[in-house]
Amino acid sequence: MRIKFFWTGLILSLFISCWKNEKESMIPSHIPPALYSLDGDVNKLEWERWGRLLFYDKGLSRDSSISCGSCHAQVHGFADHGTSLSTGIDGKKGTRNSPAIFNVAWNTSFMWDGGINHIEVMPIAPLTNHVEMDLSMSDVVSRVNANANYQDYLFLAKNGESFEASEILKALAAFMSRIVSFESKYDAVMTGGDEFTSIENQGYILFRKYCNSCHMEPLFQSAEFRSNRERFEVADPGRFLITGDSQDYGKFKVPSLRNLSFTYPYMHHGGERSLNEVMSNYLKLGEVIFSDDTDLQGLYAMTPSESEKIIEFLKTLDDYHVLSNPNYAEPR
Amino acid sequence: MSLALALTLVATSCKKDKDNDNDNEVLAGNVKIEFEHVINEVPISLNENYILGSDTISFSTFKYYVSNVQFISADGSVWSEPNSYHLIDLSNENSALLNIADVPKGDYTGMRLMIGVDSTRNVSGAQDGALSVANSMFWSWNSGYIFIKMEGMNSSSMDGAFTYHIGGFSGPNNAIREKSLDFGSAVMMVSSDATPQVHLALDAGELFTNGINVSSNSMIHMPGAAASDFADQFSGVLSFEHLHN
Repeated sequence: MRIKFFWTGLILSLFISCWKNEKESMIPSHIPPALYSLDGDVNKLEWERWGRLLFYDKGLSRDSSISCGSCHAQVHGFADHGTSLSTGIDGKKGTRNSPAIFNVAWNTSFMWDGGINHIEVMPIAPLTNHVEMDLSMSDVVSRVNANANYQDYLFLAKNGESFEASEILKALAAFMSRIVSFESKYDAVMTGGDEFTSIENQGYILFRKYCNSCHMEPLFQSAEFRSNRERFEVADPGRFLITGDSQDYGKFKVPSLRNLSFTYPYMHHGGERSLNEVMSNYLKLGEVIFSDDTDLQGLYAMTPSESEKIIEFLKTLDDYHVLSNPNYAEPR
Repeated sequence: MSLALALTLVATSCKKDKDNDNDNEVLAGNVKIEFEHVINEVPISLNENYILGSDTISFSTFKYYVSNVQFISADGSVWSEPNSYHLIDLSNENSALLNIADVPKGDYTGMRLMIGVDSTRNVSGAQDGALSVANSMFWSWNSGYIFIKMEGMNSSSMDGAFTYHIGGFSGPNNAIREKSLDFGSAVMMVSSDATPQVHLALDAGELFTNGINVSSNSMIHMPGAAASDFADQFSGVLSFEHLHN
């Protein structure tokens, strides 16, 4: 009797610990609340699980060749595999570097030009873009409803019998907003669990001097649109395409600086392949490269040795847990 | 037979009890609103040619959102349809006949509606029903609903075709248009035992004769001044035709 109780208890506690492990959200105290959350939805975990299946479903591209995960790979911090521009169906190339999908629940807008205003409507762009997955949303709905793997999740649908577009999008948003990255060395230092080395600390101080006004702690991104070049020499009009305001020509969203070791190459065009290349371009600011962003004038004074220290600090923003978290992985 | 009768009696008595509990149900009725799309008073069918002055015009797509329907009663009070979003699509004949349910009993002298989708629903994530993004009335790259989508052929266009995708919900690019439609001397009498029908006419002939100049601009596909102007013109050719109680 006692043994039976022991085994039942063991199995039960294992089950609970696994279940708890999947449910646990790893948002440390130095991070502000997310802007998008399904907290309070009793089926939050089920939305996330179904969303994960959808994220990795190649059936959501016209020729069933690619999934969201094809260009947003976990091993690269949910950016593409080191390519400047991603390849959609029929070998077609996109026009901008695939953004890394983590901490997106803190975003106020999506895409390099910020044209998308809500995480739930974000997936419509890659799903329907002719050089990405190239389906209509009604095709997406038909394919999802025809997929027997999703029948287990039909209880999430309002009518319980078939999925609507809004439900598919909500599930994708649930999964994407689940991908959080706050287990870097920087985060451990902020929560008192680790210490910067001397050079990292010097880099941190320099980062706050030169970089933090755009790439703001603790998310290291901002909702603003900026240009680090002479705006009208940029081939891609960027934010201008959304607002039609000439002040926005050549401006792009300030990206996160977390996980840079995995999400190369950099910039909206993916043309800068290493942090050394990025920093050496910033070192040329004011001499060879011009920008009318007055906040960047502070960078004119940066020296090469300061730049090296900043790179050492930036590496403390790498979070290897994002790469290995089984809850984010392609289901096998 | 007697069992059926008994069941009917039970059902009826239950219904009556419920009605007595809820004044709204007994004092409310339905209203139908029919949108008629015409050129020179001829109803428009998709992919048919119509003569417009010296031009011909045909539509392959003709769809638009009507939202936030309100009825104005004789005493000036306003009733608003809850969750009021309707997609009128000429490829689906039934969509041009709106059924507005649970309108409080009373006499109404006019109505208001919005052509387009209010700004809130443009920024609140994935919507369902008429606002489902599966209806191809949502811009993927610059979030927001396409309020009016008209595509077709016109002999005065440079390449023979036109594409108008009209939307925009903020600032100077706001293409949402509120339209007040006075019933004139007519009174719409809503009650539980009659369904009044309001007829509205959208004169596409007028739109393309005096509103939109296809030869100078045959394509609008983003919010902006041209889309706002189109919205003005579109709203201008919608009118109250008649109603019957």
